[in-house]
Amino acid sequence: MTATLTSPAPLRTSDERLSFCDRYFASVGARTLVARPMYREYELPVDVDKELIHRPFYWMWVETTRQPVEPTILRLAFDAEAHAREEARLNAEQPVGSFPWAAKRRVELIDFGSPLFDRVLLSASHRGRLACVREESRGEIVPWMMVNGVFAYTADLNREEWFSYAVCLDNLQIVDRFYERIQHRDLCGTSASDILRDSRHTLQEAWCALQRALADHAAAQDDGWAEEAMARLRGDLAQLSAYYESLRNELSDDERALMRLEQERKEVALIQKSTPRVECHVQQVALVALRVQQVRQLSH
Amino acid sequence: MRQSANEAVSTGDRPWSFSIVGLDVEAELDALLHMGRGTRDADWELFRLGAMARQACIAPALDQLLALEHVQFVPLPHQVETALRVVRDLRGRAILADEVGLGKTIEAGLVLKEYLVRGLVRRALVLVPASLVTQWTKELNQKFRIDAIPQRDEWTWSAEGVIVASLDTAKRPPHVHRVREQWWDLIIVDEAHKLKNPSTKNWKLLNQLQHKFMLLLTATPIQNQLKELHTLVTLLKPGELGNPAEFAERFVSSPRTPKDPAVLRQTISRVMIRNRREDGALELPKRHVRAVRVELTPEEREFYEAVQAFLRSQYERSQTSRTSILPLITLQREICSSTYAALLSLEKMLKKTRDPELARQLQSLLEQGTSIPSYAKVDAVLELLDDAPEKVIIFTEYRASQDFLMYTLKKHGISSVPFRGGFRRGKKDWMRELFSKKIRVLVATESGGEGINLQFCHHMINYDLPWNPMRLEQRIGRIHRLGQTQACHIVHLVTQNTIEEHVMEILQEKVRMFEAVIGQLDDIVNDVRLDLWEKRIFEAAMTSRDDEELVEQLKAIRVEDLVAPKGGARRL
Repeated sequence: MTATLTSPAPLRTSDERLSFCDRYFASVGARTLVARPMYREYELPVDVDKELIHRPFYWMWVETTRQPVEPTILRLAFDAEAHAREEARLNAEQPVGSFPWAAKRRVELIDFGSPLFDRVLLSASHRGRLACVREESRGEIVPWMMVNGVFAYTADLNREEWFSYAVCLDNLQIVDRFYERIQHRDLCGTSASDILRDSRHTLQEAWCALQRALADHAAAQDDGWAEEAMARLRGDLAQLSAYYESLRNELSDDERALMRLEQERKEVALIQKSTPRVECHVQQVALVALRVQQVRQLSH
Repeated sequence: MRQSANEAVSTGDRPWSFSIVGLDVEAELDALLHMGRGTRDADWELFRLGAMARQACIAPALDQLLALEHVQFVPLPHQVETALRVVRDLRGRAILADEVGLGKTIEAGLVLKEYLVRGLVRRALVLVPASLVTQWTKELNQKFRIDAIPQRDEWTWSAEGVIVASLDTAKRPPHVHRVREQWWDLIIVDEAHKLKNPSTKNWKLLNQLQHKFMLLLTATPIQNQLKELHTLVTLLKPGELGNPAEFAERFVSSPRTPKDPAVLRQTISRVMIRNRREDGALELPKRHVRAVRVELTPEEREFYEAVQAFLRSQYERSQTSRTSILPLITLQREICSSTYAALLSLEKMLKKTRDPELARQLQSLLEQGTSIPSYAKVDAVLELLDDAPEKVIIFTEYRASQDFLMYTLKKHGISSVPFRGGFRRGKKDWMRELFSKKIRVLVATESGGEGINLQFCHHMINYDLPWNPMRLEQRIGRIHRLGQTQACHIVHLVTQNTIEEHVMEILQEKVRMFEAVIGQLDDIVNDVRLDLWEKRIFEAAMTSRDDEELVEQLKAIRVEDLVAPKGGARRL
């Protein structure tokens, strides 16, 4: 019942990253100017430029002075070979000048962990947090509210787990791994009112049901990790307390008061560091309308 | 009915709390309904990409470091293992005590990156010597892709993210108040042996900072006494080794000797990780060390002998009057470095003395020293530079020798830059940058050498030799360290028939003995400062009638004597 990822983590290959970037830049309205093997040049719209390239003072200046803005062109290589090839091409077209060590790289290599790719992922997460979609059919539909995100099991270490839960707005039935079941289906954009027109339950009711389901999910997990973390925390607090207690006799009253504050500060830090907690991070919400036949398949 | 997404839900008797955070679901849905805007197909595509983006960044259980996927290099196995142990077993509070050059910075960077990627750290403070602020910032930016910023003013302390700052700046007002006000998820302290004394401002500052995780980086967790280890550990985990009295009772036999090294080692391993070269932690390119013997010019020889005679007479006087011999040791070491360095000390002594006879002697020595027409060591340096086609670092103990060398190099058309401890951070960075990009020779004093990485250079000349073998190793470690790809060529200039020549010979032998004994005594105490060493060398020089006797006396120094309680050293 837990929605764990069994396949390898996504975006770890250069082909996956290239495909992701193509889809992302097309979705945000960027033009693809050059497409060569493992290499792309994208022309960025202003809003995307602001999200991906951090230069607030530049934008403040051009907007205040109403300067015309030359669109930014990203030159991205998705493997080392393409990177070397395209750098060489650019160098042949426009030599770098007399201080080669001062020259900036003009083609950015996109690998997992590169700062630009991190910002692309962040932008996709932000822009892709809401959706209203329905199956293309004129037949009867059932409305669903879906939330996606991660459970984070955190103490002085953490572990995350993807989830996707949905609740039926007709009967408050809960279905987990919902996104995994519908992501490859043929869905198209619509409006919220279109989906909610005939629903029997409100969104508030649905959200309450989902919150209960999320809490039940957390409660159903093995909490051995939390027991261990609590035991460690208790041990650390006891050690701290014994340490300060052993110093107390040699101190004046003023010194004791200062030491008490120091001990409290350290206790707070330990509690902050090691207290076990389960956080359900909601990343995405969607209203989804599915054909009746599809719903039956979901229930199985 | 309406429940905030950020409100915690009760979990009864569970050992954990539960909360729903992130997107404010109701607000988002309200906005969706009231705006009445429909979803475009592109929005659904972005939704699917958003899901994939989040799934790609999920932090699974800690079987291996996530940081490895994010960094720009391939760390060595011992560095990966260390970072993993810090996060998994030591729970983020640790002393990283690898030997010099094994990559403590890399290990700390990996731990920081792992915590950042896992979202366990958002605000981190990296405290380093002033000369290393830029270097650390650059390494974090470039190697680890961590958006670290150097501390610039009093307002930087409240900035988000990772701040790299000088410990000396942090402890001074007005900064100290600002630093203390902050909550730090992770604090990293480089050169953490500067925290060995609990009554210093350094230690007190760190003890007051509020933090979750802390890493202390030092190759020498113990320099003088075992209690320094207690001081460091108490910063990380108060009580881990008991209070000072309990620690002394349980673990200390004498200030430098543990009662039961195995038990202490075992206890310490809960908070400290130490990798050593001999454990196969690292294979560096070869190092070629050779001593070039330099014969003093007749005028230099006469001056050297005159200074030796002066030193002997003053040493005898100090024995009866029980005055400090420290200035004499300094002069002895300076005359081994350069005439120029000795002249400055003689001049200072002359200004200070009220004894007319002593003043006459000093005046005479000064006149003799200033009339020397040429300097054998400087000529040797020029010859070596002719032979070495690439960048060269010249190390000297003394500022005066440094100035004189630079003056001479300039006269011969050789570009050089100085490097010393007294420089401000910006100037140090600038000098290093100039040396790496444009200048052929860097002339560095000992104090400027700490922590700076100069792996782009692989030629070193030791213009003079420190009498402490560990300091010599530290010099060589500036170039012969992680990141060096070429064989290193190190030349020691040794003046023939001077005390330096004998020190040089005995030094290597003593290093090996010292390591052997310390290894037997306790692996942890592996870098006890040889503070008695300089005194013993000087005493041997002063009380020997000839070179043969000097060598005998030097050889007779027992390593055990050096690590014994340092009563004698205090009387210097």
